[in-house]
Amino acid sequence: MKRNILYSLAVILNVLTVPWLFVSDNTHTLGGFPLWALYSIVSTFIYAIIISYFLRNYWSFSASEEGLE
Amino acid sequence: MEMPPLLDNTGIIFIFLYLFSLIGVGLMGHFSKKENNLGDFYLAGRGMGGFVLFLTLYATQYSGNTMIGFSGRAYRQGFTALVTVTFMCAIIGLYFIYAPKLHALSKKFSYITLGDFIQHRFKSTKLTVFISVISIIALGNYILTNLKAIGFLIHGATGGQVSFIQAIIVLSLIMVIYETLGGMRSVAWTDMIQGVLLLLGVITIFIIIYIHYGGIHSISTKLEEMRPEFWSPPNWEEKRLWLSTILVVSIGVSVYPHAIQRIYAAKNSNILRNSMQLMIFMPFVTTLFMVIVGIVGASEIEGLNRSSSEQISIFLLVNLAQQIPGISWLIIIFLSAVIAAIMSTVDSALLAISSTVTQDLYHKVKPSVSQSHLLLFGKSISWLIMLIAVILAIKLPQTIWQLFQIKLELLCQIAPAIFFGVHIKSISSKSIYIGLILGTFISLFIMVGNWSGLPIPVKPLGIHAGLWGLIINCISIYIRNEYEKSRKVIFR
Repeated sequence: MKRNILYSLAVILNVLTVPWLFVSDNTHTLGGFPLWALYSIVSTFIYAIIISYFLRNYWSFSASEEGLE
Repeated sequence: MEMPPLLDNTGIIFIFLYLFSLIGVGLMGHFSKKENNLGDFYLAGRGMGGFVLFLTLYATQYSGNTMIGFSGRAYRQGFTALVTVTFMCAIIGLYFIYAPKLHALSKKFSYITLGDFIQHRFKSTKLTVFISVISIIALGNYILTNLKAIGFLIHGATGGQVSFIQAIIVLSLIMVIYETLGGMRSVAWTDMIQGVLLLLGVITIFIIIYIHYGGIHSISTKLEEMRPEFWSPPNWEEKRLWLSTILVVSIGVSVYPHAIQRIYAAKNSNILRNSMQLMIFMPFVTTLFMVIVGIVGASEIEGLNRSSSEQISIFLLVNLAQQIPGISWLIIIFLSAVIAAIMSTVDSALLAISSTVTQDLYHKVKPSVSQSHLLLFGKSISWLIMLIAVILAIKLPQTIWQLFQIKLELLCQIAPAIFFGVHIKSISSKSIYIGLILGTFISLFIMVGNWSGLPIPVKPLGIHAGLWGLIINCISIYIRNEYEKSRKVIFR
């Protein structure tokens, strides 16, 4: 995987944690949380797992000398 | 809402004993020094192990704002305060982009400060000095706001037995003493204690409040009637603001000079990587817990204004202590955790300023002075900065207080120098310098313009001033870089 793709993926996953698709008439709840709030928590947790995976598996790749160009 | 004193004499004695024990830890740091040089003093000899590194990163990243600000925000804004969980995770996501390479470079070229990397990468003293000055201003503002917060907290908690001024002076003295005794070693070791206290404090308070008041599930019906607006998803403008908040906070915090020094101080890359892998999950047991406490508070206590809402956790604990005698110790734990969170952030910022002034400014003016001379100078700078911060925290008129709240907006502007500097070889110092000036100017223009009454919204189009600055900063870097590339092609 190219380094710029890896970093772009990290940023895009972060942008996806915002509850973009939930609109104002959507007020369903689950476990006391509104669905959009639950989405924010769960998507942030998934983001954390993926970044943790990147840290584990791509640390040396990210630290290597080759630049993005 | 009026509140009785939270601490009796036993509580005050307990907290002061804890605070003075930190000087003992500082002494341990002093006697553990291996060499009399800046690397040993400011980076603990670059040998920080996993446990210490994780706790010092944790304690430094989570300030008093975590304990007070985040639950206050949740009380006022409801579930949209969950943005705080995301931005605390996003900080680690950004470290993933630059920390592996910066750590490797720091080991190879023995960096001590952020300025060392900037100077080595861009070979521009002008750029190094500019970035150092921005860092010093941002960190200075950070120290100042935290000192003020701790002064108000202790004054309120002791019911005026300890005054605002006494609290600031005593705590500043303790911090500057242990910091100058053992440098990063003392700061990191005290951070360990403070980190454990912070984590235990948050978890204990969360569990007890959750058990007593019930979780979100049990309060949701009541809360739906009291605060129906909590349930509506954010509208388009709020979503834009949500993203802007994630970006401006995570980018600004990820380039904190004191966090960068911890990247340098890690013993090896495995230790740093493991600490970060653990750090990315900490918002779920720290920030999320405090947000839930704030939301539970909104269902129990009504009508708090902005400043009172910042004390929602304390109000809940006081209520609890009145209903269940014998658990007033919880309040002591909570206050100790808040004080620990604030101190661990202030001492790290102080150490970072001291090293920046010494290494990036003074050492450049006097390159031939000895390491022991630099160390003495650095320690004197710590005392001087703390003295200035104490005077300003006590005397600063409220009218210009807003100016001292500019931190992340400024720090965002130095991010391209680090992120692009680490990875893109062709970017020149001139591109970064011009971008930095433009970005800083735009951010300050929007913020100061708004405060001084110009018709400029504080967040134009729902985007923070710091992010507007960063966008202009990056566009300018791109254009200048393309221009330089095209000139190289023409002259080839």
